[in-house]
Amino acid sequence: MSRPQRPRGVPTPNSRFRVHAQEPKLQIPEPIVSEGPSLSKEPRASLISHLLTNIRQRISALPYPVRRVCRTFRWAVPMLPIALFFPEHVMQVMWVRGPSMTPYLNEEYAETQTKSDIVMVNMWPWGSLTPFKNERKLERGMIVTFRSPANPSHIAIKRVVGLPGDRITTREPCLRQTQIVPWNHVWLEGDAEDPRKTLDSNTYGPVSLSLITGRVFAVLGPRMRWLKWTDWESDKGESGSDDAAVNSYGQSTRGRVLKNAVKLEQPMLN
Amino acid sequence: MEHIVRSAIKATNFRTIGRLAFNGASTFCACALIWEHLITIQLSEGPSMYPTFDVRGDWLLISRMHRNGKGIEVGDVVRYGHPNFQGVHVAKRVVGMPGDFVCQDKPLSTSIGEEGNMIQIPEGHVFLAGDNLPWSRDSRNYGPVPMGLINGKIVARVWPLSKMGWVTNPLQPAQLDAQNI
Repeated sequence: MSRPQRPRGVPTPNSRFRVHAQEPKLQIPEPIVSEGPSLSKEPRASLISHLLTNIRQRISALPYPVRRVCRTFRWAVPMLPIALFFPEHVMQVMWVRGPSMTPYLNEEYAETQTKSDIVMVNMWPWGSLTPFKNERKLERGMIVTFRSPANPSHIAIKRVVGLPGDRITTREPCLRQTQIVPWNHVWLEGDAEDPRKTLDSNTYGPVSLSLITGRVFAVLGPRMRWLKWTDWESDKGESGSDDAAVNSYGQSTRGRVLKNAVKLEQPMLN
Repeated sequence: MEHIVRSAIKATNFRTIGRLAFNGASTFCACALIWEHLITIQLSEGPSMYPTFDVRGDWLLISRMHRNGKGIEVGDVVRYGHPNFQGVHVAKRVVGMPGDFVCQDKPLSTSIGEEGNMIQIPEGHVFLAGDNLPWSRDSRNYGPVPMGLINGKIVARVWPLSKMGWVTNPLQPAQLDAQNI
């Protein structure tokens, strides 16, 4: 099939030019030597391409619906790990149940008790670019999701009220009068005015930052809006809401926090 | 080699680049999911689990199916996120499950149950302690740890080949013979 061809520049050995017979003889072996490796390589490449064409022919011989299913699988199978990875590390949609955040999320819970807000949760550990390094910068007023310390299979959603070093004057179910938030912990509370409607840090104490999984940054429904945690610190109220009760509640909660009351020392690691 | 490079350059266009990136991202995500949900292999460090794991470090096989405290029993060695440091993982032995009464000894003490106060472990928490009591900072320092921080159970030691083997749970229910009863 692929016989070594004589290079074009080299004349054919002719009996008439016997006088110069030595020169062509010296020149001819060189092209043969140089073609040696390419000869040995060719069957490998042709084997692969032969296999590929064979597979392509077999696939094109299949009936059309089967081919369509194959083509769908070709992009759906690689899509699956990405689709599973994305909500775990980048962002996720969650439904808020219960009355614990009522004036802010689940606004009409008192009337309907059925509607649940759909929120977008940023699962990316903001502060670092790699998804596996779990370092978060939290501020007072952010709404976070975390694994409930009381029930590990349950994801809870609360507002960050106190940062490490703050002194909190606690609410009703808590046994202590005041609590200093320890190193790498935060004080989380629900927005509900009635302390019996929310199960938060007043029940299970300060929550470790390692338990926090994500930050809520937007509400998709029923009333779509962005959530800005800076509104919590400012006096104008949350998300431009003109509800006086909401604002007064926020102020009373902020009044119970003494910011940076103590300077914490980093504990020993090992 | 040159042939392969040439054919690769010839085949390069937006479609193949996009397909390569898509497949690469998919492979990365699949590996990450397996790493986070099925098994992890990690080098241990430090003296806190000394008789069980070497001070200089052993390669451990960690089953991530037991994360969030699923199927954890007293005596299992678990890996959990440190409650006081983000992104730090520690391996310690489970000493008490939710509802158990445990004597919280003084930190880094060698005595067991002589001083310290008796506590009941709250719901959803576990009490963890290292095997090397005077060299371990554990629940005796920072109290019971939420189960949500547990992200794996240590199943086996894989690297020094001479010490390869399963990490067993030494606290098994007592097996009584019929004669003793």
